[in-house]
Amino acid sequence: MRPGKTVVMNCAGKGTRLGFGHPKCLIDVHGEPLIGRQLACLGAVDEVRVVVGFQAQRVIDTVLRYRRDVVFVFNHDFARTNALASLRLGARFGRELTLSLDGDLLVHPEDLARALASDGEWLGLGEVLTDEPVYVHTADRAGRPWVTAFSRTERTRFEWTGLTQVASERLAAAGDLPAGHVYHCLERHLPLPSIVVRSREVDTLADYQALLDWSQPFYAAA
Amino acid sequence: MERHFFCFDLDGTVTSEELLPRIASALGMEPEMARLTASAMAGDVPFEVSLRRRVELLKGLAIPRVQEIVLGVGLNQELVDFLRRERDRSAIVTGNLDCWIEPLMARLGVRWFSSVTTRRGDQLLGIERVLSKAEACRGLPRPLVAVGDGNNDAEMLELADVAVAFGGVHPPAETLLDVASHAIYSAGELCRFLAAL
Repeated sequence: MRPGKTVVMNCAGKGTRLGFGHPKCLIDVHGEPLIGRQLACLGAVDEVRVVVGFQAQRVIDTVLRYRRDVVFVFNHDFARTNALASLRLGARFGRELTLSLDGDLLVHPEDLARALASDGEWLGLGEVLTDEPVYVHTADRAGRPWVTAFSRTERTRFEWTGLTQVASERLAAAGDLPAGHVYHCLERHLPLPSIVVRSREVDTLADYQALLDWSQPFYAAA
Repeated sequence: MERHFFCFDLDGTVTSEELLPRIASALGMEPEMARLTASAMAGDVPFEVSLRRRVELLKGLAIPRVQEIVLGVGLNQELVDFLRRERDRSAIVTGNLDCWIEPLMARLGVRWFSSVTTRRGDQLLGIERVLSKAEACRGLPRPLVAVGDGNNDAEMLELADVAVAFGGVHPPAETLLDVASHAIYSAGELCRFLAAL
């Protein structure tokens, strides 16, 4: 497999809970769509895949306003599958590392830059903010927290944000998890290193308002 | 990893412009050709019907003259370079006419499949057989990558293991996005993606 990393942006979902008539990656964040904010941080990344499904043409047209050297990957089964299916499709034929960035996640630009510069595998953790968090148990190894387990019930200090860099072969081998979530795939390979990032995920209108309030200092002022 | 075999559409994929409108301009028939080409690309008319109508407009031109025009058409140079590097596992699959594109195909130096014509000397008499892209692709090695931009490429993309809708010259036909596994809008990115297969 080719060395280096492929960034896969998972933008195939419908985002029904939010209530807009378009994918969550297109929500406005202080004058630019969320995916535009993400793409602005990926200028130095030479291999970007955007997985599309729901309103694929609309997402494609938006991305092309920012850059044309992107590979769009179709998840035609977006209505019946979840992010793991999209991520596996996006990672196909990619490099040895896949960095997964969900289309409904806004990462602080400074932290996304740090994540992009990070080598090896890691799971992106953040403070617990979502309605249905994937909690993480961690243990210190050589001064760095490693994730040792996931939990949907045992509250911990951090949750997994969805931002992840993982060996692509691990995703390729997850074909026996068709209905599984990405963390079901990662769970098999714990413990894994982690990095802590500032981010906001959008699932509901309340999340959206919280994202706008949180990002105002670094976007609206620009 | 398995080595993929590549098949490419010609017009608007390997070439940076559609061939038939260029030929039509030599006869001053651009408006009629533009209308027929647009409806073909949109899938409003079956490709075979559209091709026969467009050829009927153009068959008055002597074959050598058309070949000369075709040789002067702009090429997607990055794709051409890729084809030449990977000629042992590449083919061009086009509904265009054998008698018109033969010299261009010789220049590209790659295997090709096209519609078949009948001719008398320098005169095109008619189309003997419109290429079935699906039929041509069934005989190609697997795994297969198909790259196209027009509505008539859908049958080729549907058969392929990796189906790429290419938008480097103009947006790919809507029908292609329903059957494609990937869509790429930059020739450079396309070649980079294919090189990894």
